[in-house]
Amino acid sequence: MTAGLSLSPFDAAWLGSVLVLMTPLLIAGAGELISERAGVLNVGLEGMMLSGAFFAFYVAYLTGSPAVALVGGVAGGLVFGLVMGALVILAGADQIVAGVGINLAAIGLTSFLFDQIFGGQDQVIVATLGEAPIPVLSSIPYVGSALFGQDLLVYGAIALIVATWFVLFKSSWGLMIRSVGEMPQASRTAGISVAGVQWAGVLIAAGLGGLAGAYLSVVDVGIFKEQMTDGRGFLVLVAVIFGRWRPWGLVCACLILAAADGLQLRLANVTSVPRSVWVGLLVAALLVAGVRWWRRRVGATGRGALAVTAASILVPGGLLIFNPDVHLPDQLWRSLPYLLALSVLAAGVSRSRMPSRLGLQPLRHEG
Amino acid sequence: MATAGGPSVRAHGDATVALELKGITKRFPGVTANDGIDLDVKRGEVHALLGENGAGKSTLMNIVFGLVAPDSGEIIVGGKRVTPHGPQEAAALGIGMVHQHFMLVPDMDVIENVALTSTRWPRMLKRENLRSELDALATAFGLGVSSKALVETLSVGERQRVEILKLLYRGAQLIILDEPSAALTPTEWQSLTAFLRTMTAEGKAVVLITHKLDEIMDVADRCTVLRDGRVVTTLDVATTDKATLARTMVGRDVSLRGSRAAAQVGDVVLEVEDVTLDEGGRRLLDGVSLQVRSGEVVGIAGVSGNGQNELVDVIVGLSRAATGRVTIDGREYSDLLTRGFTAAGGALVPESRHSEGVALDLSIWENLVAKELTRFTRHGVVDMAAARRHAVELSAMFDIRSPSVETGVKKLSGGNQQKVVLARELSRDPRLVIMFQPTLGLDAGAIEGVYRRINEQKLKGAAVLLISYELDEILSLTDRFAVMFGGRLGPMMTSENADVERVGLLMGGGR
Repeated sequence: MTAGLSLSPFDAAWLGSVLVLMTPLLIAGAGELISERAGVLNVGLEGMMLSGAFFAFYVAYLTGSPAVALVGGVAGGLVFGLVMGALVILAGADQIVAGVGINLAAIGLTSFLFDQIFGGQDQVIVATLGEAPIPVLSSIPYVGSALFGQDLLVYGAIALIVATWFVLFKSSWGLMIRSVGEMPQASRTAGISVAGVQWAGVLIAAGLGGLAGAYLSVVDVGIFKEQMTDGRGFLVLVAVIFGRWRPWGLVCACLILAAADGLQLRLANVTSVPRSVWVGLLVAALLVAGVRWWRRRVGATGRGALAVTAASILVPGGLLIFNPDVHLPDQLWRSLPYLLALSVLAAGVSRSRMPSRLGLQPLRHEG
Repeated sequence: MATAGGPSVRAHGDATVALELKGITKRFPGVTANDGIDLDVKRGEVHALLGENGAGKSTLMNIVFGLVAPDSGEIIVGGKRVTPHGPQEAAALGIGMVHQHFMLVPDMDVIENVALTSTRWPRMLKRENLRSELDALATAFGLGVSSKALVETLSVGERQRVEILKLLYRGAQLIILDEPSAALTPTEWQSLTAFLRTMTAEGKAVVLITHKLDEIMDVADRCTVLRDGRVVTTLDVATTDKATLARTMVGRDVSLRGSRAAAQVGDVVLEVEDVTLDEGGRRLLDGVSLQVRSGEVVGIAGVSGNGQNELVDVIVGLSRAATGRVTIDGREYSDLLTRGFTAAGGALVPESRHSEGVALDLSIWENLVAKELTRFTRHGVVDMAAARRHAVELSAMFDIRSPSVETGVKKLSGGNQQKVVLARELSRDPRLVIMFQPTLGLDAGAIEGVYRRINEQKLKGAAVLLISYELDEILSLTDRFAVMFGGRLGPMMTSENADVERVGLLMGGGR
């Protein structure tokens, strides 16, 4: 074992990367949460993020301004938000089918445009939004720069979650949104336009999805590549479910997913892995899934799925602990966040917290 | 007591009248739901609206509430002519309606439900202010519900009171209650009446839509009786009795629709013995016993929602009775998904044609063979040719009018859809036929066809159980019938020369 690798992976740099990785999840998650609370399951989020990532990159390439590029990202998401709303709210199409269609369309559109505009060139790198360290706090030793030396959107994402919580649970708009997702008939008799609220939900989810995509391309790395969102939109859908449709739950879910993602990035090129990683992972996985299992909230199929995912973490983990020299492919590391997501889903989130009209077609009922 | 937000009373208006209707008329295709209705509701009174199913009660109240636009007539609220478009405008006029299905969000607490309204910009919820206002209202009217309770944790009676509280909070002066006792236990009904009396003492007006005579005697000041979309009369409850109310509700010359065939009555086919069914502490079926013999048509009359659905579900095997038993030809059958019922020779023409009678997205032939798939299946493969031949035969026999048997059932008229149901059910030569509202939504020609089929089955020696909310249908087609009320089946009566006044009394829960 080389000296460099004896260093613990859970250091300040990891902490900083977790914040950066969590930010797009939080931004997209806030929008998705609002949309789902209004009863629209926005499966097209992945496509909206991808579209946002591309258009932000393109605008940054044209204008050179990362700030303007963010606006371009929002617009890129909104384009597909309009499509989603037209299909689902106006035409009454199935939400999941429409969402899957949007994801495929976004992959095709962004790949085509990227090839048309940037094809044949060397990798174009655009200017990224710089860091905005908070004075004093960022100079705290060890964790200061990791926590308070980030770009503006990292702080913005936290503020966005607070705002989402406030709007959903402390304001009249929150009542409108939640009533539409739970009991649209009641909303209607209270004079609320169900379609209007759902439009708002879809567009907010799409716009924030676009912004989250823009974060990936013009804030984080400054490049665009085909399908660069890499399933993050789907992770957000999982995070909203895992967070039980509550903002603080969403933060916890995003934190876990980002922590796992950060870990796989740091360890992807390492051939032998410190035991602390596996111990940490096992604790996390057991906390997530075990508690529910213990409470007997999991059905028989859930237990089966849980056992498979637990095994896929435990087996390589045990192998490494007893034989540290074993070589594991880096694909295993990349699959970590998804394994965690699976175990979360398998643990069977209780349906009672789910907005009761989520994913259903609008009621076409006249008195 | 004028509350801010209530209707302003003009000098020329009668200050004691909360709502006045003049000549309200509403026609739907093929039926006049309301025909020149005049009605006045005074402040401080409970005004009952009595009538059978289809008498026009709900349409009238939907007009007042702005859900349906009248073809002609005037609505006068607080002395001013109004035309409410939609619930929001009705609410602004001080009219509130408590629907049979509550318009409450289960996942929110009482405060949030009351505060739920449309706002252009987000407004902060002032929970503490709302809570003290609500508690004041709750104390004044004797509500007895914590404003912090989640609605899903409340009982049906409590939810109903929350619904009323919500309307009061929004400044309602006139509250329409649509069959409020439908889901209540007797105790809950008692607390509701106390609640209504406090409200009228405060000068609010209440319109009570009901068909239960006891309730009217219990709480109403005046009662307007509707029949066939017209006002029969408005009575002072203090100077009337249940018999008079019943007579005015149904007492008319029975218009015989279709005639009764004479057939040889044979052995008992369907026997229902002392069947009881409970759900959530309410008794939905209470000791129901019934016999239907071969070659006779037995009717179950009564207003909807008195246990008819539950009885049919128990007979066909969709739900299991708590006590009692059901037999066909003396044999009990397994209650597995209606298969036992079908195998025992049972046929069902269900009430809701679209959700239970036919599969709308499938073709005519697929619907026709759906219950006899094994007959048209060889080694697990459907014999299409045989199935289609069978369907073509049935189509001719039952006069199903369509381009071909491949046509989707969705594209057929209601009458032809019902013919598909009848063809499928009756072509199996059933021992027992259950007809649940078989003429619902059909035109005159189609209705006549259904009646012919009923008589045909009777002559073939089948036992027929006809459940209908239309008294005329029961009286003209059945041999014997009983009235169902509150989950109980009343005494069996001979349909010929039945005492209509007594029937009306039974339908309203009298004896």
